[in-house]
Amino acid sequence: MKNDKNKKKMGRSYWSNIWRKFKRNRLAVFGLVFVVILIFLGIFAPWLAPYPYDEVHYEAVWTPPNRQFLAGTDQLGRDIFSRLLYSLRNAIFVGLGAQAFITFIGLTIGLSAGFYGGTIDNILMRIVDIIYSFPSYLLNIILVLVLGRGYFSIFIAISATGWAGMARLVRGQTLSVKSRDFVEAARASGASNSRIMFRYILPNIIGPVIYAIFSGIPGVMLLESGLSLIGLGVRPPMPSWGLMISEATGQFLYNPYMLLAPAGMLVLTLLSFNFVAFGLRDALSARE
Amino acid sequence: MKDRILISVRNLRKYFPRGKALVHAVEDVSFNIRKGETLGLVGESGCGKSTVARLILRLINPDGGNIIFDGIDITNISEKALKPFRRRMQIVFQDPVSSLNPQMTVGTIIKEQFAIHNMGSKQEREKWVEELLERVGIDPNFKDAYPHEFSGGQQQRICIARAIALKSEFIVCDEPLSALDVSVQAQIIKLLEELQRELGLTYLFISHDLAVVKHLSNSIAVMYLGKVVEYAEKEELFGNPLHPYTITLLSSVPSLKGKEADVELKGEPPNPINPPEGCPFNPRCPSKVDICEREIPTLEEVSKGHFVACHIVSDRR
Repeated sequence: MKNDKNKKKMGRSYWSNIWRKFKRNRLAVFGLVFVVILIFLGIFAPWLAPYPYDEVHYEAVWTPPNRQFLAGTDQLGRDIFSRLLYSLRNAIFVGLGAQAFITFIGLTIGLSAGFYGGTIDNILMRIVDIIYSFPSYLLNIILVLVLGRGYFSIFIAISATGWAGMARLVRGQTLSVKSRDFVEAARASGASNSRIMFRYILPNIIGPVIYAIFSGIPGVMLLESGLSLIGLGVRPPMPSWGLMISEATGQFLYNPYMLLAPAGMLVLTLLSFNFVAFGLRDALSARE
Repeated sequence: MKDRILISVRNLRKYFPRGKALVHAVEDVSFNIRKGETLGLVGESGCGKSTVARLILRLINPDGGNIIFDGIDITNISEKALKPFRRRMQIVFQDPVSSLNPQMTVGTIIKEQFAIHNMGSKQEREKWVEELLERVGIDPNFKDAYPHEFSGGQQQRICIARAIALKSEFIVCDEPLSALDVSVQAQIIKLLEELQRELGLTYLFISHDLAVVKHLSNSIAVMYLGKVVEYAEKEELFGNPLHPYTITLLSSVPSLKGKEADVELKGEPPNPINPPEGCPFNPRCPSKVDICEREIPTLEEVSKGHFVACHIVSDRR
């Protein structure tokens, strides 16, 4: 009887422990629920939006929120609620897409640099230093100007500068795990380099990497909005929160909803991702 | 074949670069270990004991000297050629927490050994894991538990199970008891002794605990600042210690009869980046003479099987 109980308690993995601790953090769970809802809304925006994002209603310009236009209309009479959903869709595609790309490059470069060390490490980290030494916003602007406006350019520009931070993090984590005795033990048993990397090092650094992914997504989304705000982001009439905010600034005194709606959505989205990230950080750093 | 030498280390050297300087971690270390026996390697922390262990297992490459395993020189062979030898020698580390991958269950940790060497079918591996856990005193029902769910002593047992999984002949025990409670230490010692008897294991037992080394070893090498200063059979070394460092080490062991030889060691071990001229022990040696500051003493056989590196001892003869 007693043994049975013990057996059930044993075998609790690292990840189930983290999930248990994460669940205890109400704000983080709240954030996660919101993130899931936002991603869902973003993906299904074309089906959920009441109007196309570029449909013009000249008869109803600058309409405050009402039952027909849930968040009002803008200077061309376009439905702000629909435009918010499409902006969300774009922000999520850029945020998740660029972050996935950043993670892939950062993991590859950081893991190789940390694991092999020596000359490889030196060369890779000097490249990282060079990228780091540029102000990344400036570099993004230059890249978008070279590549032309549009989502693809934003994606490339953000990825090209973003991987350096991830590579640094992964390298540092790799170095600290590499020196642990279980890696030495695997080596002493004759484990191959790829086995050590993928079965011993990677699973032990993935926690901080996941935290970095979640805390990086809001940054990427903000960067997209920032570029759109100064007119370097998406090509109108494609909506973006940044673009909508810049269009609304002149109207703030007369039609405040035009500014508050996209700004509110931006804040809500960033907060949700950040709460998940904070929850992850606490769950990952808490000791048994 | 009782007296067959399994491991032979010849003039092993290892220097670590520290900025522009070199740390003389291991300097001209030689010893033999016969099959089925235990060599105790003792010395203060930082004297290069663990470096010797890692050199023998080729976890780091030596800067000089030879490692001969079962008659074959493995000092410079490639990692590929080394793989069959990796199967025959294993290591148990000091800190069991750090020695076990926290992301794997203990069953998987042991199964890794078979996976690396492509041994057995899935069912066979599972069976072997259960046998091994049983053998080291862990309930096989807990094979799906994670390392952090075990106590320090149990974790060290799991490390030992991993080390004997491949039926290795030679096991390096790098201070395997230092992180454990005294009561648990005794159990682990007992386990190591049983395994040696049953499986005919050969141990290199590294420790700074002289009582443990005395209990487990057949012969003992005393290291000081990267050098072996005295090397003899256990009875000879404890009964007739010759090097002043060994004498002070032995007298530092508390005994029930009260302190006998009151030789106290003064000062700290010197910096291995900048070892002293002459004998490395001379700044702390109670009986040093002029020559000790000028010439490095070599390891000489003063009586059969008893090696000492000390000018005074050599002169006395």
